[in-house]
Amino acid sequence: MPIVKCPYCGADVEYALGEVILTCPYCGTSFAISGEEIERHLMGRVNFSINEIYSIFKSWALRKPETPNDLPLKARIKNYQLNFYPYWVYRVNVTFAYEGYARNIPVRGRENEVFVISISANKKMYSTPLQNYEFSLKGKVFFSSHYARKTGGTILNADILEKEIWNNAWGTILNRAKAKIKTRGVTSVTVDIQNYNIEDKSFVHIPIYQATYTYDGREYLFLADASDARMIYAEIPVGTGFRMLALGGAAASLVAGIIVSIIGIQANLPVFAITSFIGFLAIAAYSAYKGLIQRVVSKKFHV
Amino acid sequence: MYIVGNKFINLNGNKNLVNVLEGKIAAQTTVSISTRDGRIVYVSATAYGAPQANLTDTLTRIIGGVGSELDYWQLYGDKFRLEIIKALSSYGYKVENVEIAVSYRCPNCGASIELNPEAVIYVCKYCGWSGDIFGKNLKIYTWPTLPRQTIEALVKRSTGGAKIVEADLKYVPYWLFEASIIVNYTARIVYRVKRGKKYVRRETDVRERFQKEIVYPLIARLNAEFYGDLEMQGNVEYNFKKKPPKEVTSQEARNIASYVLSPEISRDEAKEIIVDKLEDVGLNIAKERARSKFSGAESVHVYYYEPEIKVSDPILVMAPYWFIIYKSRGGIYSGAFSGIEGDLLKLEVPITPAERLVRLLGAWLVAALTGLGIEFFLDTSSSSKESIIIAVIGLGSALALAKSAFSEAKVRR
Repeated sequence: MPIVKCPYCGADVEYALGEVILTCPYCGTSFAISGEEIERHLMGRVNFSINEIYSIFKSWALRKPETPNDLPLKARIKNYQLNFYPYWVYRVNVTFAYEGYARNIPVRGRENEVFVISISANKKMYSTPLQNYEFSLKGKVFFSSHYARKTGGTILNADILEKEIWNNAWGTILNRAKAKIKTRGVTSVTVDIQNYNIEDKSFVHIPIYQATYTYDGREYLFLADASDARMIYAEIPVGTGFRMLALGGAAASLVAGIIVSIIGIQANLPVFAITSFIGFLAIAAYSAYKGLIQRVVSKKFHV
Repeated sequence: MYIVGNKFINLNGNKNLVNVLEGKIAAQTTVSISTRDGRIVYVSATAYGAPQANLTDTLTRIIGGVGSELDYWQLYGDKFRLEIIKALSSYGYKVENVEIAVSYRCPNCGASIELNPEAVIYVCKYCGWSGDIFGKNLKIYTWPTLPRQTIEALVKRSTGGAKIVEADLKYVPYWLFEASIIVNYTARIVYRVKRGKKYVRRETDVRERFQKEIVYPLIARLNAEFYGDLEMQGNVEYNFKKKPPKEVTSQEARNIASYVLSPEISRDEAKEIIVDKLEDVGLNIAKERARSKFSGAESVHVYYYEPEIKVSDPILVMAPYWFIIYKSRGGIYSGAFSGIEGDLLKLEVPITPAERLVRLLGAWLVAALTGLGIEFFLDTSSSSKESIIIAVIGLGSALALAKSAFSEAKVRR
């Protein structure tokens, strides 16, 4: 592996090709591969153990009807990892002009807004629930490699260039500005950013548990924020009883639909036969969908 | 592999950490400092290595000197730890490692208070002092909660005697604002009126200025989502007018301290957030007012909106909230009650298999009736547009009923 010197303590820091911002495992300094130090490098503390997170997860999962009631007894954590994922967080003061339509009336105006935006800094996070994860900078403290190591965590370096990060942030700013105007009932909104000021920029590592648990020989995954116990992604097994019930409902709906449409045709009511058959088919399809899925996925969580 | 607490840690040959875990404690100290950003904290340090003369005194002096030149957040970083080791070395002490822990110091009784870094206000569980992390005293207000037995009796009554697994009391912090919203707006309303036998669509503008006085409880936590959160907010707003909360004495504060969720949003931050929230509230009121002027209003488009927000200095209120987990028919369900007057906020109620069956049969019935409706409508009218509307509404309702047959639980509020 290639090596570069830490600009703060002079230690040798190994890195993988493609990584652009590294963290010194000895002094916690974050720096670009070219040598400049990152001014504000923060981290979330690990306020919840994996056992606490798993316990919260199980009691919540049990409240879903699909979840088998013996989940707490039979489910076992197979393995887990604690990873510190890198994000850039920008606080940007933006003045933007907008145009759109309230019905057919042209609408235009100018607004000022402060946006706080977190952008994932490692390509591995793309197309995962971590890509658009949002969090507050509140409670984030100066980074410590020593602390990360003590928690058993792995630190991911950033491998996305700052230019791409800023492009992503820009896109998010535009979307948020548009969304704000759309809430007023304005449609076809276009936004032009006239002025902006980056008030604060921080590089932040967020501790996230990635845990695999087993139930009835199958594996399921969940991701949770170790600082505040927010569940980011959760897979939950669907109990056999519930699935049988749903499949039974699907079969019964299909049979009932066929019977009703036959009656309709015999009574010379073709529109009734077709329309109600479509309705029964939709009910059967939804029931079959609930019966066939072996796991439900949730990204919304109440503690 | 090492065990630290209940975790296995793979040290990956990290000699430094092996030394920490196997090494002897050379010195330990706890120093009270005021950080550069004005927080009153204890810094506890443990140096590992061979015992050395006067090491504890030197360590104490170094922490007092270096620590007070840093912001609170920096005390957690590696650089603070390394600066201490470097300073010890300059005095001729050799240590293998230094471990640091940070806690707050109660300015009243001096107790060490452990908080998550997110907290900005706390109640000392030893003396009942309440204030911010900079040591500034802050009055808090609350309603005394109804006793546990009363809440449990209410749960039993609401659930038909179900077994309570857990009844957890929390005091949820709110910044309570009294605010005045003045709004100038113009909205385009699309509405339907009857002309002869048919309904026709019309458009018009509503322009007005209104003023609204409101009470707004802003939750003082970063992650404001909890079970029944919106209902609890409404309950606090309602009770604030009906039965204002009382200022908490030190004795009362000490009694509730263990149940208090520490506020994570300061008064100044709350004042910034509230403006955005009230702008949204003002927009919704404007939409409602515009909609209410036309009985057949289909849509409201606010194309000019200028709010003016005036807020009072908020008070911090700790509202008693009970989260309940109970067992019923083999499943586990949740509930939330307000401890102020025992109001039911939100309760999951199990759906029995028979109820699920009834909902599915209901979906069948709606699908069949939709078919019949369209058949007879086409017989009496030539308009296919209305038939399509009936089909969409009817089949949509049938599918919604089918979905409800497989939903988690019924929710009562």
